[in-house]
Amino acid sequence: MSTRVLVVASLLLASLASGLALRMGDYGTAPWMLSRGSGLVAFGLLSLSMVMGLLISTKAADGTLSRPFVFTIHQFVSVLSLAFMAVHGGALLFDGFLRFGPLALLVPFAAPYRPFWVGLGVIAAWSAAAVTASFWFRKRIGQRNWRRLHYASFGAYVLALGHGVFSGTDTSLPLVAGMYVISFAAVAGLLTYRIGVASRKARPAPAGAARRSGMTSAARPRSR
Amino acid sequence: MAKKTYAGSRLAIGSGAAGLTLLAAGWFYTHPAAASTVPASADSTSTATATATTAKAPAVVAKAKKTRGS
Repeated sequence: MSTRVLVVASLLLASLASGLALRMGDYGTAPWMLSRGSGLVAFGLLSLSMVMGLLISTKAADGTLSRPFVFTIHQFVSVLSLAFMAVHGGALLFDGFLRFGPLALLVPFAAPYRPFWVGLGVIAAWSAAAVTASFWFRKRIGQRNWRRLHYASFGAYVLALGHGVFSGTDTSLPLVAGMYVISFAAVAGLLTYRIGVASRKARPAPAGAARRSGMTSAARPRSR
Repeated sequence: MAKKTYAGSRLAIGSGAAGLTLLAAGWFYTHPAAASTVPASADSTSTATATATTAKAPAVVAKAKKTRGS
């Protein structure tokens, strides 16, 4: 246990030191381009993760894709999305133009550039990290709490979308705008379908259906 | 029976995402229209860009763009 802590601490210190050393270099526009590219890919992955999560909860893909496959890929894509969010923010540390510091990346609304919209992105990243981490604490926190925490992913998605549209410099590009529209349509459509499925489940079966299924009047749920 | 890990699918998604990032970054780097999307109000240089664009002072615009490298 102590050896593992020591290894992790040394790795953190080494990466911090090398990061600080690397920040002194001049990389031209490369970090800015990398940040833009990875930000768009991170949003694409977050959208894919949302869609796969909704496919699991609505059972919409049950006839087409196997459940373990969708669940495994949903979990993997969530982690991958976090990794790309880290690259998206981390690259800015090496940009000599915007001058982002570690605090500006970790603390919401502390950024030197479009603080409000960048702040929403920071909150989205933290929320996505909490939801993704909960995959490994599901047993410990309980199914009900895990499900409640999972609802935060919708908030994270909306915040990430707002961050992308309003602080991103590529929203005007047709390909990027198209990605935002398709992503929102897919997530909103599946969410609407899910709400429909949930409300159908919550509604008690009509009396005729209960009679047909052979339930006696005593076993039938009362309407009042 | 061993649990399926879907390693192939995961590898495909991971490498696809990394490839897309590099492709997008490279395209932004080389495409003149995309490279001109310099964030405004980031610092004094970009303020100079905005001011110079409205005032149509090519020398100042060129200087500001040189800083960003577009």
